[in-house]
Amino acid sequence: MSQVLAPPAAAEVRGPGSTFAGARELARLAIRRDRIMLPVWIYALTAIGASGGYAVKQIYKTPAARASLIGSIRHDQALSFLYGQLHGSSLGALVAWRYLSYAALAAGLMSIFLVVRHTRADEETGRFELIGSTCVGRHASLAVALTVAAAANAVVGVLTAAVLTLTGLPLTGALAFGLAECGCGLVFAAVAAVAAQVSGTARGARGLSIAALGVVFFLRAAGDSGGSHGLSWLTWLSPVGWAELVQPFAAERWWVLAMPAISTVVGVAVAFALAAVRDQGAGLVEQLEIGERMQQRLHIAVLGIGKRHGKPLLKASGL
Amino acid sequence: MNAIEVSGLRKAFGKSVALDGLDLSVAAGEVHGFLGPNGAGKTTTIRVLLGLLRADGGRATLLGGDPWRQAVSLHRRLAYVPGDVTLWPNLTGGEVIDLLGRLRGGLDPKRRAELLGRFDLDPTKQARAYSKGNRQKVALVAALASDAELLILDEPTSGLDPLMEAVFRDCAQDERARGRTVLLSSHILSEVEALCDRVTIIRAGRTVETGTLTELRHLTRTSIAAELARPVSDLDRLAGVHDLVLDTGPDGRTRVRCEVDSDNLDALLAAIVPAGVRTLVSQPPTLEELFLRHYAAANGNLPGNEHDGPVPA
Repeated sequence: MSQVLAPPAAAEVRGPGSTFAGARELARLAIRRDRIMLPVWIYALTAIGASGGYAVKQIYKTPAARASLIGSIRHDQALSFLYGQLHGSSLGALVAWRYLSYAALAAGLMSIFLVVRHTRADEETGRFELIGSTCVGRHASLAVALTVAAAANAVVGVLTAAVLTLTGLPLTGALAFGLAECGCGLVFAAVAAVAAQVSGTARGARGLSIAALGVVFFLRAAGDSGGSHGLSWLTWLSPVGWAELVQPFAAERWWVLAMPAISTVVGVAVAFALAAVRDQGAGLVEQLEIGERMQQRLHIAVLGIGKRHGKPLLKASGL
Repeated sequence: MNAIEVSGLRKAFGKSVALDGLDLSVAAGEVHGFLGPNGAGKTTTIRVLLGLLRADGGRATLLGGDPWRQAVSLHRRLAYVPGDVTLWPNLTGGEVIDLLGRLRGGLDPKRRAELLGRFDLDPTKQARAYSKGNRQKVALVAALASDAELLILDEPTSGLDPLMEAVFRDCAQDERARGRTVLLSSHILSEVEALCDRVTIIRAGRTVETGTLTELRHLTRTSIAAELARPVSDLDRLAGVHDLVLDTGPDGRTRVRCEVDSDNLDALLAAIVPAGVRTLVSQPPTLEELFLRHYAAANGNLPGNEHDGPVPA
C-alpha cells in the first residue's frame, strides 16, 4: 500500500479554474441519473411542435380554410389572451400562433425541473455533501446543471425545427420557432439557478421559478389581448412573449433573440455570484435572516395564495 | 505539523449559535475522537473543515491550508463519510464508490474489492434498495479505499449493526497502522475509547475537554450494581470508588451501587467477592450520563473536583 502513504501534493492556491473542478465527472453523473428523464422531456417537448405542425396542416389545408380562421382570430381577444397575436397568414404562422407560447412555457418548465434537480435538491437531501467533500469546485454543480438544461433546450430546439421542416414548413421559420422556444427555456434555466441559491429547499426553488413563469405567461397574455388598451408593451416584458415576438414564419425578427440571450447571461452571472457567498445547504433567505413575516408575505404574494393556504405551504416549502 | 488546527471557531445560523469558540487540534497520524452529544456542533465543525460552510470567526487550518479558499486542492488529500449518507436512488452502490473515487483522484481497486467483502456489501444493487446501514457502507468503502491521508468520519457507525461496527473498528485500526490521520466524530463513548489516541469533548459549540484517554480516565468510570449475601464494609475507603450507596436488608442481604474508576475495578471486585456476590451488573457510562454528571452541574465550567458533586435527577 505504498500509494497510501504517498507524500502530500504541495498545497496549491486556488486558481480561477478550480471553482469548476470536477465538472466533467458531475456531468457524467447528471447524464447517468437523467438517462430516462431527459429523453422523456425532449420527446414530449418535440412532440408539441410536431403534432402542432401536423394538425394545423391537416385541418387548414387550403388558403380559403385558413382565411376564415385568420379573420376570426384577429378580432378575438380571448384567443389572443390564450395563444397570442397572429403574425402573417401562412400555415407556419398559424402553427406558431397556436403552439409557440406553450412550447416556450414547456421549455421553461423543463429547465426549472432540471436545474433545481441538480442543484438545490441535491443539497437539500444531503447528496451534495458527499460530492462537496471531494475535489469539486464551488461552482461546478451549478455549471453542470445549467449545461444540462442548456443542452436539453438546444436539442429540443433543433429537433423541433427539424420536425417542423419535415411536415413541409419552410426551414428558416422552423429554425426561428426552435430558437425562440429554446430562448425561453434558457431564461428559465437562469431563473431557476437564482431561485436555487435563494431558497433553501428544492420545493421552494421550484415554487419561486414556476411562479415567475406564471407571471411572465400572464404578462404575454395581457399584452397580446390588451393591444386596444395600449398594453401591448407588456408582451415585451415576458420571456414567453419574446418567443412570439420573434415572429417565426412571418417577419422572423432574429434580433429579438438578443432579449433571452442577454437575460440568460445576466441571470447566470447573478446565480454564480450568489453561489460564491452562501453556505452549502443553506439558502440566502435563511442565511440573511430575512424575517419570518417578511418571508411569509413574500411567498404568499409570489404564489398568489390566500393566507389560509399560505401557512401550510410555507411549512412544506421549508421557508 | 498538525493535520487539523482549529481555534476559537464561531458559526451561527440566524439566531442559533452552533459554534461558540471551538478549539480542536489533531496531530498527523493520530486517531482523534470528537465527542459530544447530538447538536453539540460536531457536524458544523466538520462542514467548516470541509469548506462547505464559511466560519463567522476564529481560525481553521486543514493540512496546512485554508479549508474555504483551498477546498479543491485540500480535498484531494482527504476522504469524508457523512453521518447520514443519502445516495442517488437510480445509481448502484458500486457506481457511487467509483464516482467518489474518480472525484477524489484515485481508488485502489484491490482495496475496494477487499472492503466490499469485509463489509458484506453488494455493489450491484441500486441505492434505492439499500438500508441506512448499507448506504453508510457505500461511503465508508469509498473513503477507506481512497489513498487520502486524512479521514474525516462523522458518526460513521450510525445505522451499522453490531457485527459491522466491529468490522469498522478493525478497519479503523488498520488505518491507524497505515499512518493515516483520522478524525472520528461520535456520541458513543465506548467506540471512541476503543479506537482513539486522543479525544476532544465538546458541548454547546465549545470545547470542554481534550487530552489522551489516560488523562480523561476519570470520565470512563464504570457503574457497578451488585447484590451480596452478607454485609460488606470499608468499600468507601477503596480508592477510585464514587457515589457509593449501600443498602442492607434485615436478612443481611446487601445491595451495592457505586461508580468506580476503571483502574480500580479489580480492587472493588476483590472486596465484594468474599461477601458472596448474588448478582452483578457493570455498565460503562453513556456519554449522556457523563455530560449530565460532569458538565451540566458545572454549568459549562471546566470540570475539576466535582466528581462527588450532586447528581442531577
